[in-house]
Amino acid sequence: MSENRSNSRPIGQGMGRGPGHHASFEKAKDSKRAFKGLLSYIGQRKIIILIASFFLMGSVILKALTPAMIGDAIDLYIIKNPSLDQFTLQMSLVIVLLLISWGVEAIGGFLIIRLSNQIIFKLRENSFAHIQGLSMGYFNRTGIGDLISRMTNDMEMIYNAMSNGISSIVNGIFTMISILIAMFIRSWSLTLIVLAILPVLLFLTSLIGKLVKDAFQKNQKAVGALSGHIQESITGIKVIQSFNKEEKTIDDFNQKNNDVRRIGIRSQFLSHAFMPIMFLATALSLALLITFGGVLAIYFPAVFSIGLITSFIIYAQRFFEPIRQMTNIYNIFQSALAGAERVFEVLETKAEIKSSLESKNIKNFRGDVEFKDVHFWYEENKPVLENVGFFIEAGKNIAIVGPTGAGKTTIINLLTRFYDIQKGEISIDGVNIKDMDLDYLRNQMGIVLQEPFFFATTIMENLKYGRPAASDEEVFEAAKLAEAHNFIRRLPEGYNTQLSERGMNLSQGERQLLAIARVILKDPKILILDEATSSIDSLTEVHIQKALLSLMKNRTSFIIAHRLSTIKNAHKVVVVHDKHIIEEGTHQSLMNAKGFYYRLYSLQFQKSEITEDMSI
Amino acid sequence: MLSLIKLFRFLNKYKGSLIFSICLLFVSTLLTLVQPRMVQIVVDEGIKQKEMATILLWGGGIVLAAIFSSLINFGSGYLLIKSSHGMAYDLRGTLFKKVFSFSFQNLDKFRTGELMVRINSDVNTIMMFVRMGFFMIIQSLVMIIGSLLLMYSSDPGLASIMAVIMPSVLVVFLVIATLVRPVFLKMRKKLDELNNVLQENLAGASLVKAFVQKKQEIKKFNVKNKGFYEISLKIGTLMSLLFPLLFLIGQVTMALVVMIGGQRAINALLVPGVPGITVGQLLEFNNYAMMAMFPILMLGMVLNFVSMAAASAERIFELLNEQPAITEKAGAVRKEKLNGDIAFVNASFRYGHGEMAVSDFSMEIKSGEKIGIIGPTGAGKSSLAYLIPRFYDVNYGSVLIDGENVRDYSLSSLRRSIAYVLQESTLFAGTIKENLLFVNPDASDNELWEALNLAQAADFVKEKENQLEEVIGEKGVGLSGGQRQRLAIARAILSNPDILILDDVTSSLDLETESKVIDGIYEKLPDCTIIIISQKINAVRSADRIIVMKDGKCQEKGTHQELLKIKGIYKEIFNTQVAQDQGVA
Repeated sequence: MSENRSNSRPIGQGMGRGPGHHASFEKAKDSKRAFKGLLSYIGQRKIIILIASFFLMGSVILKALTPAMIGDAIDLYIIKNPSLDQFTLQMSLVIVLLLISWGVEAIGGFLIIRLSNQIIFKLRENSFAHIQGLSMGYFNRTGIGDLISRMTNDMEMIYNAMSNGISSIVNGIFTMISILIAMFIRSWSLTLIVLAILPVLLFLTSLIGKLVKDAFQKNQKAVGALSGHIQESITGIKVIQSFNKEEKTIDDFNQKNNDVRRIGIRSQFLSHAFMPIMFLATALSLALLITFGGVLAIYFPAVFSIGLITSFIIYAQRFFEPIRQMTNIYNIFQSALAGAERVFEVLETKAEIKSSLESKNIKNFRGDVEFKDVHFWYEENKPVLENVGFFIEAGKNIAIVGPTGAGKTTIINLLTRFYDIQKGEISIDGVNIKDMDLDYLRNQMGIVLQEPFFFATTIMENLKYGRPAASDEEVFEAAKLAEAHNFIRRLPEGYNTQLSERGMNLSQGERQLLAIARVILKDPKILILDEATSSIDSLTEVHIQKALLSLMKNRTSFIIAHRLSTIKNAHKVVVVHDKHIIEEGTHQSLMNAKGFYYRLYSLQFQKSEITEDMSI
Repeated sequence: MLSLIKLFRFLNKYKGSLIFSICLLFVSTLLTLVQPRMVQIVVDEGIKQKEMATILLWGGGIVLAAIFSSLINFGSGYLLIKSSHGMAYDLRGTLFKKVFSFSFQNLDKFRTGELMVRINSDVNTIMMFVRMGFFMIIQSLVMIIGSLLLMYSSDPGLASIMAVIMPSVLVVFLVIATLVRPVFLKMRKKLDELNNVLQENLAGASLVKAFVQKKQEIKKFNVKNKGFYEISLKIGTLMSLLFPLLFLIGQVTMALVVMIGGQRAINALLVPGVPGITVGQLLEFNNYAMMAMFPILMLGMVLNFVSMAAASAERIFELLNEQPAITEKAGAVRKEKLNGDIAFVNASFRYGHGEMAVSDFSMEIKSGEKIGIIGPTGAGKSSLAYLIPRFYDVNYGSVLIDGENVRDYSLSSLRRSIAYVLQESTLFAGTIKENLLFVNPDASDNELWEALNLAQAADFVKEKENQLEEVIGEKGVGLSGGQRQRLAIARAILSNPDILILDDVTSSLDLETESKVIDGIYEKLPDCTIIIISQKINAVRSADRIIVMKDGKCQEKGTHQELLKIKGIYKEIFNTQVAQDQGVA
């Protein structure tokens, strides 16, 4: 529901009571902890809340005084002893007080708004910095969508509760209290008449409030189901059309659309009911007031003057409004606490993979890499790698091959410490990578993935990502090496071409060329190519091959590829199959061994026709 | 604005309820309007004159009026809500169906997000406008005009003061709204920027880590965070000044009314003969002023809302006015089964006004024939295949199936018989089984396993904890690329096609699995015409005929053996992919 957001900003104060206004009604599981967390952020600024409340209170009291003063003005200067000057003076005073109360309220409001903004700013800043330290495993478990929602929606909810909630509550409570006091001072009996309706009203409001809450929860679910369905069917529309399944999709849609209508009508009607019920309650209390008050005024004219009754009529009308507001605020606070709970959950998550405290860096980095008896699983009891061990000498390159899903990419993920192994040891130049500074370790590596990621900015900036200080000439040089220079130059704005999200305005092959250029510019000690050329057509690949070969020279390199042409020149080939390394050697020795590797790759030549072309 | 009015035709169906609802609302509002007048009568004629009967009579009147007004308001609200939701239901349905009537050519114009916004948020905005807008406009107008008239009947002098003050409040409100609006828009923009940085950072988390750019990223985020903080604070400051200001204006107005009225009442008392007003009247005025002030603010808000609704309406019409590029002709041929003969006759096709993607292409494919299409990126392989199930229409020439032009078939009979596995193998959120049954709801579990076997997917499905019932996420989250491709192939097989097209959907498979999939399909579906598009020799080598495409044209065709002998493009691709390695071996 995208309009949630637009409504939930300050303008929400004035914007009707659409579904967006009620936002979500989740409850925090551990409200106390969430509350404490928030309090710790408010910290020393708690005093600001006190000062602001003081201002808001002042404005409320000033406003509560005015009906009484108006009543007095009527009683004293019109009815009892008419005096134009006195009356005018008194009314002018009322207007001045109103102006002052506005100023005071604005100051209080501003203090609260500034505080809320500061706190959300700090919370965002800290959460983001904290998230940067969390490991890949956490992202995969939590899901990016979920994290984004915590950083956006939940933050907004907290902001809402703070910026609107605090002032509304202070306002509401003090309005009611001060009106109550003002009424009591003037006449306790009339006050009781006004209050007579209160229990009924509270009962009705809380009843409807509960109904509305349930209805809106259901409504949100229905709306979510519908938009999920729309999103999915539009994303897959080509598949749906290609199987001629439009009708079924539209049937499903209609059903969900109907649910939204049915539940939407119910929830909106319930929330609409608030208004007439409030009106009815106010009218009832007004009728009671003037009937009883009127009767009293007839029998005890000395005590119950017309001016008194007049001021009570005004008070009664103002007394009930805050009640409705405050039921709304209650829900806002609930959602905010639930949001705060989710935000602090992130903040309290400990990074699984960190630099060790006494991290050592290698003085003369050579790049010998060794895996020793490595065991790893993503989920417990589902081992992905067992007993994996190999050694690659600095400056040499190693190809990791194996069928789809054998765990080739996992090996790479372990070397970069995106994940930590459960057993065994991975070392570079004899130093366990767990003992190295994490940034240092990753600074030595350059990775090109099959689906490289790009930021929605210019090609130039994307290429410089690993080395922001690089000169443009260095970038051109790297792009030329990667065979990317030519296609970039042909783009309408060359290196200043804006990439769309993830670089989707380029073909996958072009993206891979860019990713290679990006790594060339980074100039890493260890190079990792994970299916880096899979989408580059064979003819172009021949060209890049040269670039890659010169890039791999004197660098320890890891290559994952299906295409044999990429593998055959590797100094060493390891074959991963079913969690283990089952074969190890050079292309030649493995072909001669006629084992798994041979079967995997001889497929291309099995058929007779090739033999006749053997001479090539 | 015009679009918004045009959209009201979706309200036609609910005209009856709407009009009735408006009448009810009118009555209900009138009933609330008489309240202050009754209070005035109680004060002036009851309390002052000490008439007990009058007090009780009008006191009861106030209660009765309130009860009726509330009940009628319930009814009116219900009808209005029902109509607005009904309209939203119809509108969403219409838009959704419209989108599904689009051909690929139409779809290329819109991004998923754009379509989503139109069907979801824009319809909601329109709905809210109908519900709130109607309600508020009518209630506000009746309240404002009614209170003014009632005031006028009581005291023309005071009423005319109000008649001046109230519109000026509206003007002040609108001025404030227009001033604040751009700041709001700017704030939304800043928020979007902030969220974009966040989204990109998380989506590219592995890149950030691999390139050790944590510090840069934090700096980037903090700049945006600061920017948003500043504008948000600005808005907040404005709001904390302006919202109380609106209420201030209301209250000051009321105080002024009492002051001016009171002065006249005093004058009347002090100077005999001057027509004055009573205390009850003064109270009445105070109440009416309050009644009129709130609707003025509502009206301002509605007017503000109109521009939003108008923008939504325009976007909705963009969709409604889009004409499907490919439609069935009247009396289209419907066939349960196709033979599977395909012919391209001088077919040419281009996207928009670009270069020809398929250029003067002619070829006949016999029923049951297995065809491989290979060629570099951008050669027109997919574009050619798209023409068969009419995802796109040819610009020149024609495509025939079983000797008849594809344009003469009904779209459903074409697409029911042709299974086209698209490059992006989209799966839907749900179980594996649900995804397969999507194309053939009657298939038995045995048939499912058979199809999975044929697509070499049975093994990994069996390894899943819940096998066929394993839940996979949207777009097949939790599956590797190769697994997604194999499920998509299994799904296509399950639809029992007469023509099967695999558009580069074996790219993530290793060569052994790829060969198993393709050879298996060839063997098990002997009568099915099969077209396999790929960049890999391995995927096309066993086809009956291979077409080598470049620049939208067929450059070479023949069997694997024949093509190798030609020593042309195919041979060159073969050399780079295969023969080099063979040489080493």
